[in-house]
Amino acid sequence: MSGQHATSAELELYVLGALAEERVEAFEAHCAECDACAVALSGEAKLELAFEQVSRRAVRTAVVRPLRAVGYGAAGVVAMAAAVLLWFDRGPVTAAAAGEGTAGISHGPVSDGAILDARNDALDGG
Amino acid sequence: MKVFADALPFPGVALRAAPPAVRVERPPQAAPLADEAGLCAAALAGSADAWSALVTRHNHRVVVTLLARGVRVDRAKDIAQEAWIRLVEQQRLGKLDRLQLPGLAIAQATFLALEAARREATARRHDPIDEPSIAAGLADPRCDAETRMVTEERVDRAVEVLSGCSASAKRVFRLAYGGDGLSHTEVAAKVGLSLQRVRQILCEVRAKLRAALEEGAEKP
Repeated sequence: MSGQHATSAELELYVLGALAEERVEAFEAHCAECDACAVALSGEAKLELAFEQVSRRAVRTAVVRPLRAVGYGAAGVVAMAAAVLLWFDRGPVTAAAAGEGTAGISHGPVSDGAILDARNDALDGG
Repeated sequence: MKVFADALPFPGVALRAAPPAVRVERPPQAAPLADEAGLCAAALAGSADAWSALVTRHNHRVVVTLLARGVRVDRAKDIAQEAWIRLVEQQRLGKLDRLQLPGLAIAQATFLALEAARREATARRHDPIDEPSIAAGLADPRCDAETRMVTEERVDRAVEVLSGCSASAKRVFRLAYGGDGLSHTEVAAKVGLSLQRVRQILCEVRAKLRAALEEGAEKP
C-alpha cells in the first residue's frame, strides 16, 4: 500500500476539489489500494451528494412556503366573500315579518346548505 | 471508440493510452464564467473547445457520483473518462439531441460502471464478490432507491439547519451545490468573496449539515 492514510480533512477537500495539487496523486493512489480509505472516501462522496439534495430541497422550500401562504390567504378571502354574498342574498326582511317570527323571511334549509357548500368549496380552494 | 479518444484529447481528462494520470480536475483558478447553455450548444455543434470546457467543469461531479456508489477512485476516473468519450462519439454520430450536464454524463458513467461490474462478475462467476465496486454495481437500483443513504427526514432537518445559517453562507452553499456546476472560483466571483473565504464558508456549513445528517443517521 502506498502512502499515508487519508485524513478526514483531506477526504473533504478532495470531494470539494480543493485538495492541494501536490497531494492529489498520492491521495488517489493510496485510496485506490486502501480499503478503509476507499470506504471513507465513498462516504464523503455520499455526503457531498446529500448536500446537493439539501440545497435543492432548501430552494424548493423557499419557493413553496410563500406560495402556500398566498394560497391559504386567497382561500380565506374567497370564503369570506362567498359568505357575505350569500348573507345579502337571503332576501329582504319585511317590516311585518320582523319580530313576528321567521315566516316572512326567505330563509329555508336550502339556503343554509348553499352557504355551507360555498364555504366548503372556498376552503377546498375552489 | 478509441479513434475518438485519440482524435479528441480533453485537457481535463487523461486518455487511456496515456499513463494513468490520476487527478480529478477542477476548473482552473482563473476559469472564465462561461455560459453553460452556450457551451452545450457549441458542444452539440461539434466544438472541441466547448466539450473540453464542459468536461473540465463537470468531470469532478461525475467522479464523485461514482465514488459515492462505491467505485474505487482509479476506476471512477477511467469510467468518467470513458463516459465523456462516448458522449462525444454520440454527438459526432448525430445521436445527441440535447445536452444536460452533468446529468447525462453521470447517467452514462453509471451505465458503464454497471456494465463493467456485470462483466467482472461474469468473469469471476465462481469467486466471491468482495470488491466494493462490483458489489455496488450489482446492487438493484430499486433497492438503492429504497435504501437511500439520506432519508427525507434527515434532509429536512439539514434544510432547517441551513436556514439558520447566515444569508451569505446560504448563498454560497446554494451556488456551490445548486447543480449549475459552478466551481468555487465562479462562486467566489459571483458573491464577491475570495476563493479561500468561499471554501472556508463551505467547510463551516458542511460541518453543520454533516452533524445534522449524521445525527439523523444514528437514530433508528
